[in-house]
Amino acid sequence: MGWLFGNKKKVPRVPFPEGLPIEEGNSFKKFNPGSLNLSDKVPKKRIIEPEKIKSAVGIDKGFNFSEDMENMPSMEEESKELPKPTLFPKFSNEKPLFMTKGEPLFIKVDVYQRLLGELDNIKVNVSDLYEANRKLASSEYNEENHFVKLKQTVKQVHDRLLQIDKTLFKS
Amino acid sequence: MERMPVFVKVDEYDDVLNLIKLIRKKLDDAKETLTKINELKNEEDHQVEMWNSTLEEIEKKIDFINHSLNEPEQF
Repeated sequence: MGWLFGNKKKVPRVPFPEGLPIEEGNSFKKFNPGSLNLSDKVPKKRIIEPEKIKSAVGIDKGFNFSEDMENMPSMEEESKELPKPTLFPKFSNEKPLFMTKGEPLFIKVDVYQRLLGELDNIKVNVSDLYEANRKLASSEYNEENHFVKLKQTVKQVHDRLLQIDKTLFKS
Repeated sequence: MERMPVFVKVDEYDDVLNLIKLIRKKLDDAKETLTKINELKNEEDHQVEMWNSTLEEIEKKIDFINHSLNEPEQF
């Protein structure tokens, strides 16, 4: 156990710095920033108080884009560069881009004419489907007739076969 | 004179959009029904083919019986 507690306490060779004695009344509450001896490089004008931020940014003066607008490209130039849309672009089945209910929609005349033409074509297609349906119905009726005839024929064949069988086994 | 675009005003176009939605649903139903009809038709075709082969088989057997009864010396 002597090796654990037997060492003597080492005294540092360099003495600790001695601070100024704290007088009564010279506490931290009465801290004087001038006593730190800092260089006063930041002027007081650079300090922006929170209530003066808006005026410092220039919001209260309003915006003036007249100079910037001259340098901006016009919308017509941009629209010329864009590719023309096809007549039947692929639309997603989700919500349309414009969903202002109750307000009228304005369509270009050529698109409107195209829509009317397509509606006429759809009407023709639907009438074709009606005709095909009528033919299918009559065909089904004929099919049913054929099926009844087929059943009768098979029954007759079966009866005749039974008769032949009977005759052959008799002899 | 520069040609200006002319527009056509469409009132209550959201009704048209709802109708198109309904038509799309009906078209999907029609497609589904057509698929079922196609499957039934394929099944019917299979049954008719089986009918045809069975009839041919019966015809051969009837021919055999007929020949056997008419010309027994050949068998």
